Amino acid sequence: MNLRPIGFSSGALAKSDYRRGIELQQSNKGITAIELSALREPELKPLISTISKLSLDHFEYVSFHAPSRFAEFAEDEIVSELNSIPGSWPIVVHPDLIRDPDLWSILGNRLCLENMDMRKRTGRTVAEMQLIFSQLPAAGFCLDLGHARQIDPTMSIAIEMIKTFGDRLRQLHVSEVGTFGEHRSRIGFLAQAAFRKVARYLPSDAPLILESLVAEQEIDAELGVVLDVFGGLTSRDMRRATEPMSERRVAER
Amino acid sequence: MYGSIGREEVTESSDVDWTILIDGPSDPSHLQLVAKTADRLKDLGFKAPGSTETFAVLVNSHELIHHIAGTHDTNQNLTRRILLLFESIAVTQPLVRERVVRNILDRYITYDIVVPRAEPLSEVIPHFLLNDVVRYWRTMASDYAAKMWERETKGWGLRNAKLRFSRKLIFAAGLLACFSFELDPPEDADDIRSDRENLPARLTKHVLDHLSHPPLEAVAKKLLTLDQDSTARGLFDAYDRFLAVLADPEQRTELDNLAMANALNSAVWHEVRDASHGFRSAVEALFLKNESRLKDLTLRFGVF
Repeated sequence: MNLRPIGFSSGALAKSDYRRGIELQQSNKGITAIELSALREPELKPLISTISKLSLDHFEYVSFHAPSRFAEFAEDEIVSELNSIPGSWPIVVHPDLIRDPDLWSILGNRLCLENMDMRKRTGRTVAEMQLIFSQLPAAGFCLDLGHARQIDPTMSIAIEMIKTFGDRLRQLHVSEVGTFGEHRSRIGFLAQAAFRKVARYLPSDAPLILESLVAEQEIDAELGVVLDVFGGLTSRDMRRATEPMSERRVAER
Repeated sequence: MYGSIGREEVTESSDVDWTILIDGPSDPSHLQLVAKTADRLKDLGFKAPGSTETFAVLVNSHELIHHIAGTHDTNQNLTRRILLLFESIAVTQPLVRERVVRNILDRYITYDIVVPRAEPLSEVIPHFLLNDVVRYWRTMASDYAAKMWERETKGWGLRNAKLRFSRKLIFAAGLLACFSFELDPPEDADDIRSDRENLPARLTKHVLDHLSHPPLEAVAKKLLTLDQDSTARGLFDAYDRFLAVLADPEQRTELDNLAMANALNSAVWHEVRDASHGFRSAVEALFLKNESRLKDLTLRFGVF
């Protein structure tokens, strides 16, 4: 039986409106994880400055997604900003952002490097990720299944990544990624079939962060699809299943 | 790029076999890219590929992946597919080429529907791929005969030489790739044999790793493990003589323009033919004459 935290990236649900992205998930009992997204550079400072005021008690697992590119900040400024994020949340970073690995090493094992899609020049294959991890040996790994499928629809590379970097694996990004690297609204039949090939190789507690660009009314359906693909119950389901019946009735009222 | 560039045995006189491989949405401008590439290569002094339009064209991955055998496959598609697997390199975007190669192998191996059986597999062989490797070799031989007829023997000398060497080399390297799981089994081979669910993916990876070596290197690696020095010497000496002829512009031109009636008077032709006998003997020795697992596999799966 799986006990995996599951939830959406705030950016997938509400783009830069992270409060809305949190709110939409806080009201959902099936969601136990969230990724706070500052994918665009101007979103970074406002989000970091309000983190301590955000109500995140609902979530068992929280991660933070760094901007995918930066122009306004220098590299050391970005690292300094990210290092100011409180707590021990994994900080997901695209490897192509890293020009000076020494600067990023200060993040230690909070740094969580994500494999990339075809548009990028690095981080796409096991060999390319290996090179990056050799420069940042303490870093964790965020396996983006949509990116891996875009590089290799047979999913052999994704499975190889799990085998090679399994001890670093902190979380997964789950979505269908289009030809041009765009996240799609829902995970279609073929992507589901591809992700099923990978599911059996994953640790049962690896957090799943959905990046599907769904509307509010589609959240539950998309969660259902992903749980069906990866199997099992969420950690919250598990607790509910083991609660005494009387307590559950009280909770459900 | 395919041919001698893909096999990493290019000479100054080599022609350039290339395609623009599309693995994604079609775009009308792709055709302009083909024209521009052809013009640029011509400007650089490279000879254009042959007239069959197997190369120097736009190739969509759809045909390569979906039209394997069956009524929609063609000699041209078979040739492009097998050569993409065994003698190609990506000039740009290597991950696109690799993605198509992985998908083709997936089609050959993962989607090959096999009859259920209770006992573990005694041999792990990608039968569908193996059959297409054999079919490729026989198709090349048959096409040679067809071109002799259609072109009234024009260009026969070079085609004949390529059949004796480079086409046969692809066949040999193809067989070795198909037998690679048995010849060089991974450490957990026994587990894989009994794990039906994982077997296709593991076999695909094994074959893919094997394909990372150009054909001559793949043959050399096998020879190194078999302790067959005289076979190795015979095979590479002969192939070297073939490449020496192709590398010499005069000899290559003579071979290409040779009239069949003059063959017996051509020293170049005699050289190619004599070297090819050495190559043939060495290939036969490698696969059939010495007692080895390779001989067992060749007899069991490569013939009947």
